[in-house]
Amino acid sequence: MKKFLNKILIFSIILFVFNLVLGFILPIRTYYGNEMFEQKFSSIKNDLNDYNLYFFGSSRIVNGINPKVFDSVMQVNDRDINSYNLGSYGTWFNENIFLINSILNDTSIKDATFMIEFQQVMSVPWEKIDNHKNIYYQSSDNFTFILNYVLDKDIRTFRDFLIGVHYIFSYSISETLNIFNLGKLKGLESYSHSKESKKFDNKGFFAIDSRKEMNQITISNYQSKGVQLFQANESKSNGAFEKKINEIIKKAQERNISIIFILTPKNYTKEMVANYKTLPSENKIDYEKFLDQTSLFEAANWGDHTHFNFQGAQYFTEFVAKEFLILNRNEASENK
Amino acid sequence: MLFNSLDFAIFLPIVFILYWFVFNKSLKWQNLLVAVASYVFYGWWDWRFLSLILFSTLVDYFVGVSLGKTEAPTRRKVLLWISILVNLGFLGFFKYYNFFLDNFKSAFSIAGYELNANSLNIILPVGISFYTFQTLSYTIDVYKDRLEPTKNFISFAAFVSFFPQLVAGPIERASNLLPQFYKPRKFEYSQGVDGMRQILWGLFKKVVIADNCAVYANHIFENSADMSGSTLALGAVFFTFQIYGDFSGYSDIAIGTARIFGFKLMQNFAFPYFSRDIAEFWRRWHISLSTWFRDYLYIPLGGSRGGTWMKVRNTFIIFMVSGFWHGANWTFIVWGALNAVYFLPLLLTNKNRQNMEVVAEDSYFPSLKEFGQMTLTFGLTVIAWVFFRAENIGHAISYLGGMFSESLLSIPYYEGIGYAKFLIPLLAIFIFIEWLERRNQFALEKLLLNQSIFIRLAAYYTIAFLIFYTAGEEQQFIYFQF
Repeated sequence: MKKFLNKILIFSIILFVFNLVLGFILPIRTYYGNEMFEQKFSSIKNDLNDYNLYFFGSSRIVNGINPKVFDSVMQVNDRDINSYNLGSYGTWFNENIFLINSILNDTSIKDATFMIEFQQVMSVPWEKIDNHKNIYYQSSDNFTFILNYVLDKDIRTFRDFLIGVHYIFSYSISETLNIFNLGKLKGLESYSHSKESKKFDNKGFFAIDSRKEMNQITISNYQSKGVQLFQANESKSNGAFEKKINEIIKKAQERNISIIFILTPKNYTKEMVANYKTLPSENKIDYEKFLDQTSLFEAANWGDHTHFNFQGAQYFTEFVAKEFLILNRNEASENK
Repeated sequence: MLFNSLDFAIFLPIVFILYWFVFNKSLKWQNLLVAVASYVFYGWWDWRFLSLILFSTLVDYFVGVSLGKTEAPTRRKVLLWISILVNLGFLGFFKYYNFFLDNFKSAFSIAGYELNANSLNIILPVGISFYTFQTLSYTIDVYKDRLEPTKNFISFAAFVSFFPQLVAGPIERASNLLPQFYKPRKFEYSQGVDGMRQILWGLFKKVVIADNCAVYANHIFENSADMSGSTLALGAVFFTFQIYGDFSGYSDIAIGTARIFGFKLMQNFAFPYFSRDIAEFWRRWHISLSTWFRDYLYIPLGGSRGGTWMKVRNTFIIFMVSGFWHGANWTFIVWGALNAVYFLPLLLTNKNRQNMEVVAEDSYFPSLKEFGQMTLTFGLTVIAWVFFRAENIGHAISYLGGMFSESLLSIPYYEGIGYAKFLIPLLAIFIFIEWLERRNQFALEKLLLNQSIFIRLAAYYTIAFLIFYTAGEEQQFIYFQF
């Protein structure tokens, strides 16, 4: 038995080391785990400088921000903006930070604006832990961030503690799988095989139809609970989260790219609200105005319980566009 | 829990350590651990269906004990029928209820009557076809006095639910597996290493071969109306390797896992695509099911004895029931019937047992005749697999119609097929290795054993890297649905 276990152990260690080395050598496509982002990015990568405003985020951005509407609002206000929706399905905070960092590192984009969906840090669900989508963006930096984030979390109950443990556990597994190059064959340059056809327009937007009659109470709750949470001051913000946000803002500033965080309607958490409040005012859209937008919380404007339909996207984009103009005016007057 | 999942990668070492280091002093505790681990393994998918296994185990245990206590033929028959009705009742309800209902409704509506019965939203419990057949073999063998009934409930529960082969076989006979739970088991280095090699090869077949073939096979089958004949043929070939890699890969992992726990399971696949006729193919494909049907259905029906009509009837029954066992869809029944049509000429001309040995046993290469026979048999199975994979009979017929059209001789093409350039050489290497090792239980059993340790390790590492590089987004095993 001892001989058997020794052999298994040595075999595994060598496998681990070889994998580490191969991970550095092989030409892996940066965004291979996020098919939609890769499709969007590759469709505009030769024209990156034609755009001066990009949206990032999850499906709420994909289905909620229509760049054509945004650009037309800008045009009416004599602003020359050409925007593109780089949102992609199931893309949460850590992945978004990875995507934005990669774009800042690997492209020549400058003098632009990145509008980013404001999100909470999520743990990796166990049933999806070995998906390429949850592996490809892992790194030691990300894992360090998660550790700091959990250590700085407002842990008051045993449940909070277990949630913290789950964050560390799930990201350590995902990072290990990343080191083991799980599934990276599909990320090799020579193996770029897109399974799905593109489901977005030439500006990265995709509208969904209303799939069923929405429950107005559920949608209204997003608004009322949001108002309650934003009015209360009972939660502390997370220092590691703030630091991460500030790093990305600073990094973007070096390229004259301004970062603006936008809220999308959903169930907010106390921590998320506390973190949003700590954002510099020039880097976010005013949440009070956002929560005042009754049209955003009308069931008729929703495709399902988490996404706008075409009409809802129209309202939401117009609201974001107007707030963007206000932010720009404020900034301009401050500069004067 | 899937063998190719992270859950299993954590589960297996834990059970292994508990089994050999914590519970190794007592056979009873070891068996109890196997039973509990098996329930965890199964319950991971849906714990509610554990009640079915437990109920089936209890019924068959008490039927077995009762059969051991009575000699009265009528009472014995009643007991046997209780076991058959309970096991096949579960199987029939969960797997076939909606199929029969829909077909009855269609039949009645043709006759002008409308049946007012609604289909039920039934979830098919994973592996139900496998464990019901395994436990049925126990009661039938006890009834036929081929096996002593067990009074050891823990051993029996562990036998019914033994996690390596619980959800997709091999379907073990009680006479082979159950006695292994009575004897103390000792870890043997050679068995452990053999087991690990078989697990490695099974994972390779599943993750590298089957899952990669699935990408192309699925795309081609789902868009078959837009594909040329040659592309459809390629899709059918990809599916042929997908189902082989998937199912025989599962069996390899199951047998290898059982080995590291000191159990020996039966061989389930013996390089079936190197068969020279369909009879040989069925002696090499899903051996545990074929022999189950042979022993518990074909022979009781009279087998190949009797007149021509009996032979034809029995052949069709066994192949069609075997097809129906795979799923409640006419496609599986036609798949079975087609295999019966392939098989019958051999049976009627007494040529069904002419290829009993391994092909080209004493040489590297097959003769021209053998090569032709293998190619023809492979071609026939590819055609039959189209029915197995198709959504319905209409889809299968239109698929085959498209395949055997003028464009069969064109170059296969669809957007994205260019990336199969990685897969085709890999398939060629896979076939080559399987061909070299066709005399063994599995391809890695003796491969490179006479070479230096460095060459062997290089081969194992290459396989492991390929598994890691192609893994992720775990794919369900096809046979889980049966």
